[in-house]
Amino acid sequence: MGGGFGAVGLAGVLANDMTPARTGAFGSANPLAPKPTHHEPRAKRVIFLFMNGGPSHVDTLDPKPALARHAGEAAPESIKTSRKRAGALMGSPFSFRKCGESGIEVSELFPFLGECVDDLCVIRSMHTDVPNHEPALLMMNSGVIQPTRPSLGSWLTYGLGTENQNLPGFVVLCPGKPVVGPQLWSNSFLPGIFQGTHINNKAIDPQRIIAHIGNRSLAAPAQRRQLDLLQRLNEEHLGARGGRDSALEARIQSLEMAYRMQFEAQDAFDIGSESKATRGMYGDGEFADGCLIARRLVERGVRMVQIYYGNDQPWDDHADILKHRDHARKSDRPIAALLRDLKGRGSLDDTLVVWGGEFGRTPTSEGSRGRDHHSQGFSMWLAGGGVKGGHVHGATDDLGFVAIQDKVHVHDLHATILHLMGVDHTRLTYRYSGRDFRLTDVYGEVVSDLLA
Amino acid sequence: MGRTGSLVLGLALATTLPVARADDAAGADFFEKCVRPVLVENCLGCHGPSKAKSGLRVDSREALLAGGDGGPALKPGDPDGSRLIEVIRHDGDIAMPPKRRLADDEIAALREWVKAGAPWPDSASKTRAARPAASPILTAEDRDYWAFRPLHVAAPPAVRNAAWASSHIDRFVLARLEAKGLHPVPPADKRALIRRVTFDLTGLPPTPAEIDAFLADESAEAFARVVDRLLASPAYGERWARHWLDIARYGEDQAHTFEARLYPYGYRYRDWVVKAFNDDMPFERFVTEQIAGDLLPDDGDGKDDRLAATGLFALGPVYYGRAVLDELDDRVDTLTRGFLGLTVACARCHDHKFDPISQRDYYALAGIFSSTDYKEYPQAPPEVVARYDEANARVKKQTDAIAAFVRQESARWTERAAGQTARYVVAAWTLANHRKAQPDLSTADFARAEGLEAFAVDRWLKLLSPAEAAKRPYLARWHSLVSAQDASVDLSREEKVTAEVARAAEALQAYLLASIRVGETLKAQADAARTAGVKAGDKSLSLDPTAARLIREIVSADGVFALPKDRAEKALAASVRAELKAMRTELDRLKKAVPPKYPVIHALADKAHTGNLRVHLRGNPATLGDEAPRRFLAVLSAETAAPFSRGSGRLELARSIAARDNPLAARVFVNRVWAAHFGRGLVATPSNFGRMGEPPSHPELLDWLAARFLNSGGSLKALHRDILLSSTYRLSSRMDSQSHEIDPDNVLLWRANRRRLEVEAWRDAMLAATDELDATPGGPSQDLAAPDNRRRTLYAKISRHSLDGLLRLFDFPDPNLTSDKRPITTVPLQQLFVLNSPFMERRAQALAARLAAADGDDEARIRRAFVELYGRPATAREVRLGLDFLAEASAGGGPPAWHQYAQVLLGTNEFAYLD
Repeated sequence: MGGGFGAVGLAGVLANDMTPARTGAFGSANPLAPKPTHHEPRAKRVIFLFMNGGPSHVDTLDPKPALARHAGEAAPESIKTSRKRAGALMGSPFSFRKCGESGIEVSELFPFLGECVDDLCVIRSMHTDVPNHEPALLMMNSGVIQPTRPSLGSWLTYGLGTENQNLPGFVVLCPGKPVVGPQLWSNSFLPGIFQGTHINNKAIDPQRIIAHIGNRSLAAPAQRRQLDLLQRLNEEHLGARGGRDSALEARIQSLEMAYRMQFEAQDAFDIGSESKATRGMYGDGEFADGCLIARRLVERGVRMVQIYYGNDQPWDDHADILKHRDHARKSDRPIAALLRDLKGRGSLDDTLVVWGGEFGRTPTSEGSRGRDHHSQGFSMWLAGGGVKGGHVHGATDDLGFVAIQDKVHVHDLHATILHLMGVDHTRLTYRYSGRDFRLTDVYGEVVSDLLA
Repeated sequence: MGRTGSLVLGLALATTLPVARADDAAGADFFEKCVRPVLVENCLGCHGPSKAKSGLRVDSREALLAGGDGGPALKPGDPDGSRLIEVIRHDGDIAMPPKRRLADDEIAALREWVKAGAPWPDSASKTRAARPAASPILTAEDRDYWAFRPLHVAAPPAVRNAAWASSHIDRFVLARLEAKGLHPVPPADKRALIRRVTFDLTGLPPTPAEIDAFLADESAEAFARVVDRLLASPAYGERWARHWLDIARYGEDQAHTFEARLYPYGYRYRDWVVKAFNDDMPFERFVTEQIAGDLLPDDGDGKDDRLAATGLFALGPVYYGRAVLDELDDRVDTLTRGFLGLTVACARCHDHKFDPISQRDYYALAGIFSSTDYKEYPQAPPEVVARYDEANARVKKQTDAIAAFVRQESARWTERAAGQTARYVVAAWTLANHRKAQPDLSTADFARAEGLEAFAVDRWLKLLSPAEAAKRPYLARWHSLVSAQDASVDLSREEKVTAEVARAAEALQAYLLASIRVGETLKAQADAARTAGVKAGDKSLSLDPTAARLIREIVSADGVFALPKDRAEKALAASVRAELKAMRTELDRLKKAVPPKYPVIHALADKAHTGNLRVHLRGNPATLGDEAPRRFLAVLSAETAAPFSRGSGRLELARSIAARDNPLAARVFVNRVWAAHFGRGLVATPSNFGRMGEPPSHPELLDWLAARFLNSGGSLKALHRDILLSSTYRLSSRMDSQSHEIDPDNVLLWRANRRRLEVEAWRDAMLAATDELDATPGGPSQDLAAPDNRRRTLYAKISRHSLDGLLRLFDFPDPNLTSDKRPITTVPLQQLFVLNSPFMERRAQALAARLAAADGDDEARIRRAFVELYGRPATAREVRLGLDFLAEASAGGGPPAWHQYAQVLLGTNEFAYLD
């Protein structure tokens, strides 16, 4: 215990009293400066690969031979999926094979990932509250099903700051926009600077990837000259006011940082500068580009990068689960490349990679060849910073309906992610509306079995 | 789960008890956060007021010291010697709680607490014991908390420097300064003052002419004249409305998009707020109309305005899937924090931990809102409304008809398919046999050749497979027949075999059809019996299980012959498809014929059936407690106050809040006004006047202002005059290192706070400086990012789903939640906007053009720019810097030098900050 972070880092810098009279709170100290952690962190940054729409666990990471044996039968009476039109049990059309030294079974959908399985910590016992996209997306991102709370990335940047002041601390990549949209990376009641910076990576033009990142008409030397004048006038203004005012000084500094950010950010997003071999390893496509950008961002000190697999909710395969093949084809190679790339650069050790969607899919069909939403049991995986590799945690029942062993709720996942980042989830709080709020509300336990 | 359970949040936090003294505030805080909840949750049920097993109670320090049958339970300072700690460790003879060991951090917290001497704050301390919701008894101390006390109007105190004080306000302020040995800095110069007050009241800069007039006016009333002029400006309401809209979490849509309720006419509420401020609407009406405008007596005049006023709640967030309890939480939260500075929503799951607000209070207020409906009041003649409604009804009717038709035809298809059972069975068997030789033979090709539906062939294949068939009694004959066949050879051309197979298939079909007939007959019998009033006895006939299963698995809505959605239409007969097509064409026609939705006012109405809510124990709707009659907060009501009885009770609620004898609403409101003028409230937590908020820095001044406000009939403009004409308001923002040493946060107001303009004022000021501002008041909101949007920022669309990027970047609050004050952040992404945004580029070009239009050389234009933008003449050095820059930039190529220069002037600290 001990109050280092709670008492000084947050309560001091981030007191919820940010009136101008107390510009000490936000005006002078940079609220995004790196902050001390509660304990030694195992990971310094997070890449969250978000498979929006909800990938089917029984077709990807949670093999259920019994499902094939009972295919066509009605689901057991005891199963209440709360979705109305549960059809018959449907075996996976995909085969599974044991991969790596750990022998963890992975679906044929993910041949590349299969080769990385010894770095993965697969959770087969995830569960969440509601099997509908909007509430489940909000739960996975902010810990409640209503749009009234800050997101995971906002909490992380609020609590930890970020290591590179020339880049946003929390970047969200999505070719287009996922269902729900900005609320998924919202700062909510935290100050606006902790909101995720959404980047539509449908087409990556480093010049316009962040709002106003480049000047349309001024070359760098001309802009430097312009900024020099601006700063001279600001100095004159400050001088006439006694030469000391933390808020005015903060804005002067911030202008310099913005100037530098233009070049650093454009450089960070310029995947064209990667070698042919690297580009080849990641493959083509929006998601592949996103993964490569994520690596470039985290190695530059961005605290959290979230990559949504696609616009809207592509993994939502109600009509035909075979469409998973297409999503897997587009994401498998880049994800494996990202893991290998991070590992090769030695940064997988302190980068936490998280993979999953807002929920899983029913082991039953919907009277067609697709599967419905499912919240009571599904799979995710973690890799890198501080988690066990080649490890499986938890299990669903024989048919893949309900997480029955070592269950992990989304709150537990959040608690564990924060723990790996050096943060005690019970002590990362923000005073709002007369009380202290947390990402995990009153819930969540660190899942120690996941920790290396 | 929404906010359910959020309240115990701070409590499980394992923080260290910093100082081992039993009587200090940190000890009390630790006890309340980490110890009391553990005792209440886990122990009090058996060792409390209702039960005291083994003679032990744990609801007071004394009781623990006295102990029970096993002796004293507590030895302060000695955890290992304390029986309490021994039993909760679960490693000795007695283990408590018996069913579940406490969490490690809870045990650690209790140990820590005993070690620190077991501090147990008494009832006079800051915190309150948890009480059951059924007994919301208020103590005299509860009512005597400063925020609930009647206004105490003290005589302004005596001060030494009486000459400085120009009003009562100043004497209250100066007395506190003098007591600390502080001196106010000199007053602001006239240029700084008119710039400050003009932005303060209108959100716009003063014009050079206004500045000159003020400088020229040397009379004692010069400043009062400026204040009056500004208060009379329509821009005043536009500025002050936005302060209130932060609290009202004004938004025009929802965070979610799926079937979201939108508020395209929400601007009517925004315009009502603007008008209320401009008209100096008395406070009592300001409150009453927003809560219950729809319930006020209808005197004809202004009825629509009063409806629009209820937008405070009518425009509230609704959540995905209609989470009604969470919506009530929003209404109670916005109401109580907005008008009363109380966090009543904290009492949704249990009594408020720190303030005398019971769970009953929460549900009493929530019941008022649950008795209230959102209602759209048409703003069109009845026949227009009727036309729209009828057109929509026709669309719905046709949509339903199409769905019913598809359902009916699908059922017919299934019925006909049942008569084809033998063909399908034979086909499935044949296909399986062909595949022995041709494993890749596709069902689709085969089915097409046979004139059958592939999906049904596939399903039969699966059902007839040995593993499945073996499990089904109705396939017994089939199974024994097929399992005897050679599994490696295609038998489909062996006549003897096919004849056998065909016979078995026919038999199955006959059984199916007979079962269906019997089933129908039984159902007809049951229906007839019911009609005849015959009670079906235990021996009433039903289908035997095998037949029932057969029917379920073949012809039910989940059965083999159920048409999948994606095949439904293709499988239907051509004539049916044609009919469907015609119905769809008609639907399209009907849809096109729907006239545009008529305008509405988004407002409230009482429900036809109003009623009380019951307390939700632990906030859980499944565990209901006592009914909570709809009424006002107990601590602000007389003990004898009757529950509300008229409709939802909203009008009574509004009147209770606005009542002259409610000191809290006036305190909260004048404090907000003070905070907007000074950058900090007398209470620094404007929406929390409870124990977890900050106490007032100048309690007597706060009460004096509140009383004065009420005595003026709730005139906000009179309040502004009082405040603005004080010497305190007119101080300069000059630093004084000695004073800074003593009061670094300037809580005691020895100087004016330097403030950054809010995003609205900053953007509007730019448009004003370039002479581009479109001052059209009111009406529909516009996209702020639209390049041609030159209206005041107030009129931007406010989206809860996707807030405008500029607003979000510059600390505009999230419109999903009520906001009491904006944080002020300074980060590079904001400066990228200053350096690179098209908005800034366009303003710079406009400013350059404006300056170029006037006569004179570069120097004259630079001087003019400083006056326009900063309200002061440029210094010689500033002119020099400008001329040098223009020369260099002209030589450097690129955009015109004046564009570059103008952007610099708009981007300075001086433009963004007020002295």
